[in-house]
Parts: sequence; C-alpha cells; structure tokens
Amino acid sequence: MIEALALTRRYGGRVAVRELSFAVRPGEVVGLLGPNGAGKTTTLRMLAGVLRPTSGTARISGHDIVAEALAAKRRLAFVPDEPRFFDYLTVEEHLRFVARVHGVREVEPHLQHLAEHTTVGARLAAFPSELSRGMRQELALSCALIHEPVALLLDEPLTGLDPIAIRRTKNVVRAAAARGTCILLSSHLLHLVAELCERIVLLREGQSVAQGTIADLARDRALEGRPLEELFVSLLTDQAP
Amino acid sequence: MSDALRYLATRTVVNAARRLARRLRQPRYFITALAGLAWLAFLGRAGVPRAQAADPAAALPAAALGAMVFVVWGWLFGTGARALAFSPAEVTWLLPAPLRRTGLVNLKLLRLQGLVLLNSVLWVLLLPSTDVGATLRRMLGVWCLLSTVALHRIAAGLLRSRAAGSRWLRLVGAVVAGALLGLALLMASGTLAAPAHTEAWLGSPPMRALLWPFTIPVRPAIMVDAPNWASSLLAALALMALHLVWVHRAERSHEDSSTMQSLAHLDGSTGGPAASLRRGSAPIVPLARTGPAAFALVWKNAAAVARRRGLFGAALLWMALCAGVEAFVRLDAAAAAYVGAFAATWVGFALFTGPQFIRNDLRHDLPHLASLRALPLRADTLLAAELVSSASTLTVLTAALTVVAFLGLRVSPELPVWLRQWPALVGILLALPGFSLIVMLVQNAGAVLFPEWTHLTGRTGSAAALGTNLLGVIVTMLAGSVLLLPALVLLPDVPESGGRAIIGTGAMISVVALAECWLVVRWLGGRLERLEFTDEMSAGE
Repeated sequence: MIEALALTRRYGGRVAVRELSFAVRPGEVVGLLGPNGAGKTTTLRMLAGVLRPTSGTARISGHDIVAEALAAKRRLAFVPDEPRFFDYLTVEEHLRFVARVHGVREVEPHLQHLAEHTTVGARLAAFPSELSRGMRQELALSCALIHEPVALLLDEPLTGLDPIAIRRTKNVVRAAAARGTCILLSSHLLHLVAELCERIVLLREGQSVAQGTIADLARDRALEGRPLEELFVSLLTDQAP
Repeated sequence: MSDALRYLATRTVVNAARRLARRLRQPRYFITALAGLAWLAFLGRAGVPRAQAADPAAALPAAALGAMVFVVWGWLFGTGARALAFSPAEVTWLLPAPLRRTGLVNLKLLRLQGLVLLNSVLWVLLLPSTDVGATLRRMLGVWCLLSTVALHRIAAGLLRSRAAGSRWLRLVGAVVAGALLGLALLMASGTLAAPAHTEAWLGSPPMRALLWPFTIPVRPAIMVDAPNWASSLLAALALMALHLVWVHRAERSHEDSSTMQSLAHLDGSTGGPAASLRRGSAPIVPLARTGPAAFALVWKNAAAVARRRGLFGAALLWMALCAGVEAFVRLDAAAAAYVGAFAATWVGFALFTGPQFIRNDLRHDLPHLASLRALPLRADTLLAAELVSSASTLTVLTAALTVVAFLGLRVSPELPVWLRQWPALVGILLALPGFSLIVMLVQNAGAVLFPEWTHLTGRTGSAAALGTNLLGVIVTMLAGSVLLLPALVLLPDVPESGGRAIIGTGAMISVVALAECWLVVRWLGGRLERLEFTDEMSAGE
C-alpha cells in the first residue's frame, strides 16, 4: 500500500505540494495527473524517499519513508521520467547492481526473461549510451521490477516511446498490478492513463483537485463516455485550489 | 560501504580502464597519452635539481598561509559541496534504493580520492625531493593535506549551501571580503603599518597563532625528514579523520539541501521541479529587446560565466589584492615586486592555458550543433559571436592580473623604465583583446577542423586528457605566434618612443589580430556549415 498523508513540500518560499493525501491499494494502478508544475514529480520523489517532505507522512506498506527509510525503500521501485544510467556499467551490470542493492541472489532468471521478452535483452553487453530511448525504458523497468516491489512509482513512463514500446510498457504495468503491486504513475498521455488506471489523483499547483475513479468523476460532471481529456480540462478549469 | 556500492565502484573502474585501453588503440589517443606521460616525466625530472634549494622550515609558514587562503576562499566563495552532489544516474538508482546515506557519502568521497591522488602525484613531481623515501613521505603528506582541505571545503560548502537561502552567510562573506579590502586600503594609504618583511610578518606571534591550525596538515607535506614527518603525519591524519566525521555530520544535518543540489543538476537538463531552484545571480547586463542576433549569443555565454562564478567576491578580492600590492609598494618593494612577478607569470600562463578552462564558446555549444544551426545566423557570424564570448572572458581575467602585475612591478629596478610607466599598462591592456582573440581562435578553429580531438565536456583527469591539453597549449602557442607576427612586425622601437607610441602599438596589435580573426572566421564559417556531429564528439575524452 502506498499512503500519502498531508504531504507538503516547500522549495524555499514556494509550496510545490500542499497537504496532499491519497492511497494506492495492492493491485491498483492510480494515475497522478496534472498540468506541468502541478507537483507530480515532487510527490513521486517524496514517496520514493528521494526528497524529504517538509511536513506530512509517506508510507510504503506501512513503513514511514523518512523514519523507516530502509524498510520502506526495500519495498518500492521508482522509475523517473528520464532514467539516467551509469556511463561505465553495461546493461547486464546494471541489473546485477540493482539486484545486489535489493539483495536478490538469483539474477540469471531475470536476464533470461529480459533476453526473451525485450529488445534490450539482446544488448546485455552494451553500455546505456548505445541504447535507444525505448531500450533504456525497458532496462529501467527491468531494474525496477527485479526485486518484485510492493509499490511501483512511475514518472511519465510512456512519454517518447514508440507504439511497440508503449504496448510492452503497458503489459509490464498490467502484469505487475496483477501480481498485487500497487502502482502510481504520472503521465500526460491521458488516453493511456484511461486504459491503465482505475483511479486518478488530479493535482493543480500542488493541491489535490479531484480524486476517484474515472467513471465516478465523469458521472459527477456529466461527462460519461467522453475522453479523459475533457474531464481533465473540466476539473482543472472549473475549480480554483 | 555496502556490497552493492563496492560492486558499482569496481565495475566502474574496470570498465573505464577497458574503455581507455580500447581508445589507446586509436593513434590520436595514443599520441595524446604519450604526450601526457612525457609531460609528467618532464615535471619529475625538472623537480629534482631544486631539491637542495628549498628550506622546509622557512617554507612552512608560507605553505600554511596558502592553505589558510584556500580554506577561507572555500568558506567565502567555494562550491566544495558539489563534490557530494549525486550524478543523475546516482539520483536515479541510489537515492530511492535501500542504502544507508553514510555509504553513499563514502562512495562520493572515494570518487573524490581519484582527483586527490592525481593532484598528489603532480605536486610531488613539482616539489623538490631528495630520495625515494622522501618522495613517498611527501606524497603521503601531500595526499593527507589535499584530502583534509578537500573535506574541509565540502563541509564548509554544505554549511554555505544551507545558509545560502537565508543570505546571512553571503553577508558574512561580503563583510569579511570588505574587511580584507579595508585592511589593504589602510595599509596602502599608510594609515596602518604593514610588516617590513613578509618572512618576519609570517613569523610574528599573532600570525603564528593564526596559522598554527594550518601547519598541522601542511607539515608532513613540507617536512619530509623521517623523524619530523612521522610525528607530524599522525597529527595530520587525526585532523583528517576529524574532518571526515565533520563531513558526515554536516551531510546528515544538511541532507535536504545536499539532495536539492543533486536534483537541481538533474532537473537542469530535464526541466524538472528543482531546476528553477538553481541560485542564479542576475546577468551582468540585461539583454536588450532588439539588436543583432549575434549579441544574444554573446550575452548568453557571458551570463553563463557570470552565473557560475562568484563575480562579486572575485571583484572584491581583486580590489583587495590591488590595494595590498599598493601597500607593499610603499613598505616592502621586494615583496610587491614578487607578487607582481607572480601575477605577470599568471598573465602569460592564462593567455596560453586559459582556453583550456575558459570554454564559453563554440566548444561548449558544439554538442547542440543542431540547435545552433536552427538559429537565423550565418555560420561565420555565429562563430564570431562564440569567439568574442570566450575572448572577452579571457581579456577580463588577464587584464585584472595585468593590473596587479603592473602595480607590483613598477618599482622593480630590473625592468626597463618604459615598461614601468602607465602608458605601458594602457598599451598592454589594449593589446590583450587581440591576444585573447587569437588564442581563442586557435581553439575554436580546432573544434571546427578537428572536432574529435576536442574535449567538448571540458573533463580532464587521464594522461590522454593531459596530453590533449598539452598539445592544445603547444598548438595555441605556435599558431598564436604566427598570427601575431604581422602585428609584431609593426612594433616601433618602443624604448625610443613615447607613451603614445606604446599605447598605439597595443591598439595596433588588437586591430591586426581582429583583421586576421575576421578573415579566418569567414573561412571557418564554411567549414562549420559542413560539420557533422557524431556521438564520439559528445563523448569528449
């Protein structure tokens, strides 16, 4: 379970995220939406333990990300919007490194799976600079899932990918959710969010504007059967935070 | 450090060594590596004959003063905490990982050791030594000194980075710099008595007390006779250990600001939320709404320098230095001449090696060649704007040093009279833009004509990089000399001429250099239009 309780983060005098609360249950895929600068990346970074909240609490499987950082981080994986890799580690070494970080002893089955189901699997000896964007995304997801995390945080996982890579990524997300992983993903690609997510949390200027299932939110606004984009615009333009 | 971090460190070193070995099979890397090694060997041989000349006990206070200046600089203007900033890959993979912060900090400190060790070797080659044992003792002493100073600057940087938001530490820095300037001005005006001899001043009780903490890490690097060295090294190691503890404690208590620095670096390239938090001073001058497009490029490159360097602090320090030299001219002409000669040496050094570290020109922008080409500018105009950017930066730097050199040397009887008069200073200042344009032209021409030989990232560290830099300096000197020949031919018989002729000569050098640059840039513009960017170029070294 991913829990955010009154999460707040200030950057100097600016409040990036204010009193944000929500939860993601096991097996659930929740979309974190909002315009640029709404606080999505900051929220994900706080949940991942990269950034310390100014106030409020973030919990992963009941473990506080600040007070019990190691226990919480053992149960989560975070893939940022543009994952960066170590210049001097090969694809295989990245997997082995992340496996060691999380205490995963058996890496070979993961390598085997990578070789059979991904394009990057054929480039195990390559360095990240030799990979396409889609391959880098595959590598990032493979590294993130190597320890079978309880919570998966994905920041713009589908942006910049070709249709085949998007389909692969969607399948990976669905498979992880089917295994009981709770997934929080941010994206601007609303039609893909509508495909993948049961619920959404909509942010504007660091505050939650709306939360709930897409169907419920659409019903409330009399926008049933309309594209998510219309609901998104409607929610953002009507309510001031 | 955890097993995973050891794995990361080991594989990084092994793969970097393999990549270097692969590159050395290419002639250009092999030649530059050989040149770098030859340079190191030359330094090693050149250091030995001076062995008998140095008096370690006499050098100790001066070395301690140097360490103190370095440390104070770190407190006032330093960016030592950047050494602990996590790279984008480390932010991606290490910060969300179940790893202890102490281990991550140790990993960064281990990385820093690579640079410290390289510098230790270079310093040992430069400093005199009598035998192998003394050389090893000095190397260990220098390593301990450099490590301690680096740790101190990191801890100071962490405290500074947190205080930067409240601005109080910047205020303290400005007050301290202002006090130094005031002290120097008082000494220059004769209101405050300055020491008659530098050596006696450094040996005075207040200065000895002030320098005492700094003699602890400096002593084992200077006093390399076995009995003195062993006892002083223990104290130096203890001090280093204390600094290590301090860095860890400072990092823990400033973890958030430390993380923010790393994220700002990451978001700077991706436009993430921390990008806007990078503290940036206002550009020197605002960009006018209208005007030639090339000016915008020059303005961009100038703003890049202004935002990376502490210009206000540097300006204050320069004024303090000028006033200090002026004070010594009245009270200890020999000391003033010494500082002047030192500054003059740096002018020459900066003119030929400056292009290696002042890179706010085409070399910096070449990785974004596609964006450059999209600008509504002709290639030669673009190249000229890039050239003017770095040349003007180098001109400002060398002009500041020239003023210090002139103030110190104008009382030196060893210099010809005409060189000690104000027209000489004006003439040199007028000639500096020409010199700067020529040396920067050579570097930028190299980037256009031989892009794969050019370090676009500005990273150095290996023997190959050292060799490339060395070759760059040699080529700059040769090509620069050829390009300056026409101007030198026009030189009048300076000692016989008056001040106007000297000033005219300086201006003439710049005019001739400008004309040559114009011709060469027009030709290079065509080459730049046909230039194709490759991944190998972006990889730098």
